[in-house]
Amino acid sequence: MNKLTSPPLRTHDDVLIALAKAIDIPDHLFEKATSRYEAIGKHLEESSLSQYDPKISPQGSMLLGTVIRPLDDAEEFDIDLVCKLEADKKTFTQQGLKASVGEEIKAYAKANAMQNPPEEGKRCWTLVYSKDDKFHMDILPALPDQSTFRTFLENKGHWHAASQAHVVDHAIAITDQEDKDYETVSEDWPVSNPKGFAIWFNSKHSQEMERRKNLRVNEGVYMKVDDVPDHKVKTPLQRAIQLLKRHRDSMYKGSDDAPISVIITTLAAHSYQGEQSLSAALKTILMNMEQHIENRGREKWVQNPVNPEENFADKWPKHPEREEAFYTWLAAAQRDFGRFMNGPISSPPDLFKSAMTQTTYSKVANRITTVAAAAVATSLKAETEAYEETGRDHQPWVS
Amino acid sequence: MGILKNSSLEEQYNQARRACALLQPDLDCTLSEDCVVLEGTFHVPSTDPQLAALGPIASFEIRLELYLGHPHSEPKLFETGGAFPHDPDHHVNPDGSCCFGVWEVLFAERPQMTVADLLDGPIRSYFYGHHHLKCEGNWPFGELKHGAAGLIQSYARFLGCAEDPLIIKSLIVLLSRKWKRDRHLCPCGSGSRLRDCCRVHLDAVPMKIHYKKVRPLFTRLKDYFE
Repeated sequence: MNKLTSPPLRTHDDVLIALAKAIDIPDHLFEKATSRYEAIGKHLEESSLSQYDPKISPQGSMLLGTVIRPLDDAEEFDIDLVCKLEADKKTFTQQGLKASVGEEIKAYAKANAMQNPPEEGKRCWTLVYSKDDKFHMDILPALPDQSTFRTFLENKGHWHAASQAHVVDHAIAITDQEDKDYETVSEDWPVSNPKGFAIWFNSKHSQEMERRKNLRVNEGVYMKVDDVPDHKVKTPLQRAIQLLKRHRDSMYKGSDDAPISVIITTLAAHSYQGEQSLSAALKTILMNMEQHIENRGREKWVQNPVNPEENFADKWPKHPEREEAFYTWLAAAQRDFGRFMNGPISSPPDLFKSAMTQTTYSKVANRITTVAAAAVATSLKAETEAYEETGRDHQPWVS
Repeated sequence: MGILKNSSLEEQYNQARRACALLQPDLDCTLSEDCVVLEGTFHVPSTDPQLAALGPIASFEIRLELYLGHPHSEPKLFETGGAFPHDPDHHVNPDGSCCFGVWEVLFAERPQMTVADLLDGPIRSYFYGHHHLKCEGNWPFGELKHGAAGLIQSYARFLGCAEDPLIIKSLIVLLSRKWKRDRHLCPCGSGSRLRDCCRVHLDAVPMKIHYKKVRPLFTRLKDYFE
């Protein structure tokens, strides 16, 4: 094993980071996926839709830097994209937009001799690449929707949210086969704002992201902070979300009851307090995420931070088993990460290993090493000084 | 970390459960009629990440009782594994509870003390102290005197004044707004007005502490001085 790329793991943090890296999308796949969707973007720019200035951009975990590997290594990464056309809702019906984008994606697949034709989903087109590529792309056709969305927020009395131009300006109208107006010309389209959500999410860890980018510059890897690509730096918030999603996946294995990623991501981002280490971030997040679920009457709310009218937990009243599954998962995650972070790294609890999956765990296990026991015997002085530095040096008393 | 102020016992239980899961996974958390009980093995982790990777540096069997209104009410801590003698020299009260510090001072220093703060702060420090005592024969951060003298010591450090019961009492009276500044008699009992008597001593100590912080001190002090 190359010592430069795989240094020994000596602390809980080292192990957690190594696990998060093991489930992350590898750099070469990230770059390959980026060049593939940029190629689709180029095709669209030169297609029959060129008059609408089509743009392809990542959304969801690809945009947030929280992509994780599927449980089964043989499965593909899921790359979520938005294809936005500069047109209005009088130009297209939802069905028309979906079909127009679909035609061009089909043409792209044909021109590139792709084996499988794009598949139509409820909202997106799925482009399946060859097995070697290890990813597929879900492309969501969309139109800009900032003015309708701003008016909607104002009408609902969300003046502050409506005034956040840097967020609202990214609102999009999307298509949905199950929408009542799917086939008719209408102003009433489903709305989404993945880029606005990413702006909010990034604001929650921007300081730590900046600090980490500066470190890379100081290490001489890059000339200046702006040169550091976002995907080359991961904050404890992003790593914690990756680990929590993996824990969820291994617990629910694709069940419909599994807590959805956007709920985990939103609650984690709300809870994160700028911790610089992954173990500290995980403790804070797992300790606090429950407190960011609001009780509104009988309904639980996980509010979309960029659309106060949207409840990410809106399925819970109809499917109480999903609400129960969320709390069951959270308690299990607290237990499993808590036990790992408080025990010796050389013998983690079996529950933790299976939560991370044995195959992933085995990728990092052989790198775990600990300091010599002799170091412990001489550590009391340093330990006492550390207590004094952290203000834990309380004096006992007796009444 | 959530604030426990004014929370119901059930909320306290939920916060304690989360804190235990993440910080002390071998403590069981249960809800009884009048308190939340944390019982089991308390681990003292090392602050050095590489040593923490070996596991806890010491472990103790404990029972911690958190009463309604925590942190406004004082928690009770018991060592249940017989790891050290239960006597004043090992900072164990006559009722068998462990004395990990003067609660009202700990609370005044950190009014929003959560269960996690308590486990990771004074209780961890107390058991680390015992581990140090066992290994090195002394308390790592020193210890407060027993009884009222220790209380005076602790109050004086918190208030930033001399270890003089009269000054402390007067200062707390002042800070607790139990008097009207210009008409109040001096608490030293001389019969003179404060401004004509001990005011000069009191002016020498910091006056920026919020009166809410010293209220619990005032309450305990009354028990000792009246």
